[in-house]
Order: sequence, then structure tokens, then C-alpha cells
Amino acid sequence: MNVGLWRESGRRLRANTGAVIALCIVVILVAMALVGPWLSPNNLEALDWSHVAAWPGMAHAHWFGTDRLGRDLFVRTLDGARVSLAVGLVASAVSLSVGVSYGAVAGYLGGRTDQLMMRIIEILSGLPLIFFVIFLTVILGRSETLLFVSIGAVGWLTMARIVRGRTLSIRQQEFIEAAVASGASTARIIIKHVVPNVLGPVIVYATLTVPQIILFESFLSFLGLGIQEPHASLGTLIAQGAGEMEAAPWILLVPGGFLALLLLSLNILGDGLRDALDVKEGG
Amino acid sequence: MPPPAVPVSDPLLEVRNLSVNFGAFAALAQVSFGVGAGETVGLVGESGSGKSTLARALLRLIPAARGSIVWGGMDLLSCDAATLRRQRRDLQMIFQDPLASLDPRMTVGEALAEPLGIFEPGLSAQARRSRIEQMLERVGLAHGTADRYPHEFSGGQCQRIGIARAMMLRPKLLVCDEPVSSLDVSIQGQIVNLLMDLQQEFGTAMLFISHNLAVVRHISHRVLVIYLGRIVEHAARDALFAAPAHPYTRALLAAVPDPTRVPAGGAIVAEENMVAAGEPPPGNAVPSGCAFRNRCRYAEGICEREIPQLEPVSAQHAVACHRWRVIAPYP
Amino acid sequence: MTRHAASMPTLCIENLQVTYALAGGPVEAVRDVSLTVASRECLGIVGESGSGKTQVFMAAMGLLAKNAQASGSVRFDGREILGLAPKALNRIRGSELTMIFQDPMSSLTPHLRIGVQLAEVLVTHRGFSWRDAMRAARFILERVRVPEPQRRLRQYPHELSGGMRQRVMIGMSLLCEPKLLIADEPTSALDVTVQAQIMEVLRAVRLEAAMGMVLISHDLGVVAALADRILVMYAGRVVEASPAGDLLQRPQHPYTALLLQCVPNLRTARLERMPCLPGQALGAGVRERGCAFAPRCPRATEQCRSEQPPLRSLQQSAQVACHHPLSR
Repeated sequence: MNVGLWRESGRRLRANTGAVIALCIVVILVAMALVGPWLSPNNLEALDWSHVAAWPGMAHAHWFGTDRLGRDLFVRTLDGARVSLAVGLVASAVSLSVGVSYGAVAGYLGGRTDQLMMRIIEILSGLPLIFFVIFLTVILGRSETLLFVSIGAVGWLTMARIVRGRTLSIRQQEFIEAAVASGASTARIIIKHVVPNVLGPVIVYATLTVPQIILFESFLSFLGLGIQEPHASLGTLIAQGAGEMEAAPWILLVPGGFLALLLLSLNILGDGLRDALDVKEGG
Repeated sequence: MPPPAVPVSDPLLEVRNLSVNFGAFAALAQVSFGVGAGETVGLVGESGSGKSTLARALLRLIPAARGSIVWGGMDLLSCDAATLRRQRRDLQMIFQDPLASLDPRMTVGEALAEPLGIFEPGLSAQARRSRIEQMLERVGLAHGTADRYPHEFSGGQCQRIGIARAMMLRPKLLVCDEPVSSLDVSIQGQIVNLLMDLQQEFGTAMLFISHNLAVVRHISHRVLVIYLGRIVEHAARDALFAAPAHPYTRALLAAVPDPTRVPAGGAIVAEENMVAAGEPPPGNAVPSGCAFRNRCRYAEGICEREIPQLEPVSAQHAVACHRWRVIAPYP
Repeated sequence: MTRHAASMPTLCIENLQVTYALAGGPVEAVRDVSLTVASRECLGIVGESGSGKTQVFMAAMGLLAKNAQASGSVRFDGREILGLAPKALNRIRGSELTMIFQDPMSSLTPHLRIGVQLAEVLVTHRGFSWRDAMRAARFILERVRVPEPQRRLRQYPHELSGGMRQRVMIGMSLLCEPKLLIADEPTSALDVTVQAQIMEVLRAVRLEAAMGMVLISHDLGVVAALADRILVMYAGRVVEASPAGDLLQRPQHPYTALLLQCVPNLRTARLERMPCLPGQALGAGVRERGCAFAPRCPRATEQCRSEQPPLRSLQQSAQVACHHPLSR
């Protein structure tokens, strides 16, 4: 699309050391999550009775140790990370697409349409998220797809609000007037003029919600509502690890550390993106 | 309502009795005039006069309370959205802040491609590109402009881009809302001369809105003077500048400093020409009768009671003033 | 550089250089500018946007942005003020040396009444009591011909029109009886009829107060109406300096002559093409080898393109930086 402006922002991002380091860490963690399990001779579900709750080490090929059932923690952690990242991405994608469309339309049309659409958001915001997800899970049964979609379906609310706010301020600007005067239809204006100009804050917010979503999913899984056995997510791993804290601390520390590092890096990256993109927001 | 006091034969655009309200405040009241094909009508007014409101109301960017805008045999104010959009092909606008009127996220080429995409979607990419290059060259911009972004250009260049965009489809009428006010005095002439050249070449009529009398004198064939939402004088250009009939017009002319007359401690504006004291009242305090009466040294009782209507001074000259006959002839 | 024989100049700037540190490299906004303002003199500074005319006085007032470096000398009433510590500078700024800007709305605090903002100046700089300060504020509003001054004191900035606010700003700058008032594009944001009124206020006030004034504008017509001497700037340098009458009747620099042609003059016959300068003003940061104006100058020669013309005195109190001034 507008390669030039993004390139300019990219240059600014590269100048921000903290963000670059964070980006590298994220890339490394993602790569590990995708490729890692194939590097290990071990399997996700295999129970190694000879090495139950074993310390991390190179000797027995369990690099991150094993859990109470003898399952390799390296493979399980990375598998869990993969699930968490998938949830983060899919849920963010859902909330992004729904939120941006909803917010842009509400903000641009204004008037009663906008009022109505905002009332709907307010009502939905008032509903407690956690009970909503539990309710859906109970009614529709446990499935990973449902989990992804329901988290994303609730996450779009704030995105819509942000996009609507930004759209309201863009709508006042003269280039929108010029577009109307040129004969552009409402749809064309929203798609070609409003959305590209709100993408800045949208990207930043998306990057910052990915960790929130991952955390939320971990929380659900920790409560037993999310990912089921034999698959793991970082949340379930942490739940298991919590019980073994005194005897075998690595069972908690490995997935916990991975999660913390991932979230921290995503947050720093998000901040860096905001700084890089913000300067152009002056329009 | 009476027809415009200075009739135009076979006008391209005819505004009849247009009124625009912002809540209780009347931004425009009973505005009537016509624009003929290929001519430039200048609209002069200061801040608060309603001139920008008029530009936006003409293009239906803001709603009008009353009146009609007759264009191509139909009334723009009462036609449906689809028909209105079709008319925009021939009725274009350029804006006061040229940078703000360009989408910062689109290249110049993309901005110019938009009108083509809307009204001539069948064009091949090749043809589109060539039309854009041609137009950029015509308005005096260097090769390679199309791939750059608006913020990389100066104010004058951005205005050329805006003009190029508006002229892409060879509109019949171009509404110019203070197009040179934000530019340095030395650059204003470039844009004005460009507009005049384009008018010569494409036969585009123009409604040129400005508070700058010198610029209006240069580019217009006829001039309207607007004050607090009403037309107060309407004349052919030379007639207006040689013999302005309305006190407000005289005040405007007198207020432009004369650089050749270096005052040796004397007043900047000669006392006899300082007819306009004070400033326009804030919107909700428009005086009854003639809106200018609080600042006018010729005001009398009737000025307070009755709103003056446009009456003819001569064939092509009308003024809305109760006292115009009594005022001494312009020096 | 001329000096008034009678008294020491109020403002004396020598070899001022202002450089901005930007992402793309250092940009020189002001290049080796020297000027003086005699006491009670009105100096007009004319230039297009980017000429550096505002930056010169922002440097003098210590108002430059953090990424700007100023070097050279700025002497106000004999005292060196360039680089002065903010505390010492604050005693001079707003009292002896004042400045008004193009947009009065951003200079006034929106949530304080006019009277309070005016009185505050006297309370801070002159140690007045609030009661005396309010009385003085009212008096100053009368001086700048604000109708119903008592009522205005109680109003907020947004309740006043643009012209009225500018009068308040002028009044505020006069409260401590400054030796020098710098007016940066004071009328550019105003309507023509209001512009004439504000210029009248400035003219009257200067005569009554016997103070010096610097009037900065891109509009030669505005400057011509008020200035005793005029300085023309282009691309960060002074290109011509002359008494107003001489400059307007017999400009020496081709740029000045072109600027004069562009001044709106409703009294002369209408020309076919509106006079203007070709091309656009050189960005201040561009390093040029010869004269910065050469690309746009109708009289440019090879010498102009390769050699920077120095500022030379032509006759008494007139200077021009040009290899081929119009008198030759």
C-alpha cells in the first residue's frame, strides 16, 4: 500500500534499541515454538517412567526436565507456547477485523447510527467476560475453536472504541471533505481514507492486546476451562507446575518464565511500535 | 423572492435565496447570484461573513435550510444522493489548507487517481497513469511527483496538487475556497496565474472566494461582496473597484495599505476612508435591520428598521444599502 | 553596520547564527545576521517563510527550541543576552523586551480572565499590588482602544474576537513600558479591516511610548506602513537594509524589487498576470555555493552562482548583498 510511510516508521523502529531486542526475542521464541519440538527426540505425550520429575539436563535428553508423569517439558512447553501464540493471533485477528469495521462505520456515519452502535458496545462491555466464556463453553462444549473465537469476540469491544474515536477526529479533517467533494461514496471513503489513517493506533493496540489475550487464555486454562489434555497451553503447564513448586520448581519455572519473557517482549515491542508510528499520526 | 439583482444570461449555476443556519445563527441569508459558463465570479468577505459556508453549501457538504441551487436543469438541494454524486464530476472544489485537503497516507498519484477511479473506472492502468502525468505537468510539477507524499511538498506545490486533482475530470465549475490565503504573497501570483491559464484552456468557470481584494481583482470578471451572511454588493469587476457603492466595500478597499505612500507619521488609513469602526459582532448578536449599521458612519434610522435589499445602481451593479444614493462619490 | 550617533542602539545583533540539529543533518536557519535597532526606531523585517526572520528574534528572546544552537552576539541596551540564564532573562523578557505573535489565542491562557493575565505581568515584574495592577490593566486597555475596558477585564480570551485579542496582547506587552517591542506577523491572522486598525494601534502606541519596535512580516505592504528602516531577509541572510522610503522607491536587491511588485496595490491599473516570484523559496538548510537567490533571480550571472555576495554598504545607512544591485 503506502510502502514509503511504513518504511519510514520501520526506520524509526530500528533506531529504538529496546524494541529491536524485544522483537528479536519474540522472533526467537516464536521460532522455538514452531520448530523446537522437532529438534527434541522426545514426544508430547510419551511418558518416560525412568525419568519422572527429572531435573533439566543434557544427559537424559530432557533439556527442560520432565513433569510428574515423565513427560518432556521442553516439548510440552513449546507446544503450549504454540497454542498460546495461536490463540493470541487468531483472537487478535478476530477482534481487529470486527473492531475496526464496527468502529470505522460507527465513527464515520455518526448521528443516531453511531449512538445505537455505541450503546450496543456499552451493554456488551457491562457483561462480565469470564462468565460469558464459561457460559459459552458449558452450552457449546469444549472446543479449541470456540475458545479462540469467544476470546476474540469479546476483545473487539475496546478496539471498536479506539477506532471510532480516531475516526471521529479524522472525519473533521479537510481531506475527507475533499473526498466527498470528489464524489466518493461513503463505502469508498471508509475503506480508502478512514481505515488507512486509523491503522497506526490499531496496530499498536493489537500488539498490546496479544499479550493480554494470551494471559487471559492462560488464566482460563489454569482454571481448567481452556485447553484440554493431552495438549497443553502455557496456562495448564503453569497450573501443573504450581502444585509441584517445592519439589520440582522447574515444572513451574520453565513455562512461567517462557510466558513472562514472551509477554514482556510483546509489551516492549508494542511501545516501540507506538513511538515509531506516532509521529506520522499528526497527519 | 426577487431574482438576483444582476441577472446573468443563461447561467451555469444559479443560486436562489440560499439560507444556511447553524442552530439559531443564520450563517447565510437569502443569497442569490449566478455564475456563467467560463467566467470567474469573485466572492469577497472577511471572517464570519459566511463565504466558506457558502462554498460548502454549494457542494452540499453542509445542509441548507432554504433556497435552491439550479445546476444543469435540476435543483442540487433536492436531488437524491446518487444524482448528486454524478454531478460532482463537473462541480469541484479546492481548499484553503492545501496540505490538509490531501490524504496523508496516499501518494500524489493515488490522490489524483481517485476521481478517475470514481467516474472513469474503465480506464486501463496505463491510461490512468498517463492522464495523471499529463495533469501534473500541466500544473507545473516535476516528473516523479506522483510517487511522493503530500508532506514532502511546500504549500504552493500542495495547492497545485489540489488543483490537479480537481481538474482531472475537466469540471465545468471550480469552487475555490481561499486557495491562496495560506501562501506567501510572493507565491500567490503563481497559483492565481495558473488558475487563469487553466480557465483559458479548459473553459472552466470559477467561484473564487477570498478576503484578499487584490487577488480577487486580478482573477474575477464579476465580484460579490458578502457581509454577515448577506450579499451587500454585486458588480462587474472594474465597476466595483472604481466606484464601490456600499460603505463596507469602501472600507475594504481603504484598508489595504498603499505601499507607495510612505506615511511620515501620518495615519495609515486616511480618516475619510476609515468608515468601518470596530469589528463584526459575534454571531448571535447580529444587529437588526442592516447588519453593518453598527460600524457604518452613514447609518440612519431606516438602517435599524429594515434589512436592505439589493437594488440596481446601474445595469451590472447592485447594492444592498439604504443610503447609497446619499454617500459621496468614491474618489 | 550603522550606529545612531546620538544614543546607543536598543538592540544590537552581530554575526548571529542559528543551527538546528535535525534527523537529516544540521540545518542553518540564520546565517551570519547582523542588525541594530536604534531607540525609538521601527525596524521592519521582511522575508518569505523559511527566510529565518522569526528565528533571529526567537534567538534574541531565548525562545529557541531545544535542538537549536545560537552563536554570535545579541546586546540589549548594552547587555549581552544571548545565552543568558533563564532566570536573568525572565527579568528582561516581558518587561523591557517584549514580543507579540501571530496567533494571540495561543499566547493567552484560555482559563484565566483577561484582567488577571494582564495584572499578573505587573505583579510579577514590578511588584504591584493586585488592585493597582488591575487599575493599570484597565488603563492599558484604554490605550489600545479596546471599547468597554471594564467589561473586557472580566472576560475570557475565547469571548474576544481576533482583533480584540491582539490588542490585549499589545497592551500586555506595553505594561512595563518596554524599550523594545517585537511584533512577529501581528496582523497576518486578521481580517483586512481589523488589520488596518491594529496597525493604527501599533503606530499610535509607538509614538506615545517612545519605544523601539521590530515588525516582522512576509507582507511588505504592512511593513512599509510602519517602518522607519526595512531589512529584507532571504534563506537565512540579510540581503538588503535601507531606510523605508529609499527601499520602497529605489530597491537595490532584485529580490526586494520583485517583492515590491507582489505587494497588492489597488490604486494602480490591473496587470494581465499577477506578479509573483518564480519557483519557491530555498529551504533554509540547503547549502548553496553562490547567492541563495540566484536560481530565481532574473539578473543572475555565473559569478552569482559561484560566489556568495557579501553585505556591502552602498550609501549612508543602506546595505545590499548582491553582485549586481539595481543601481548599477
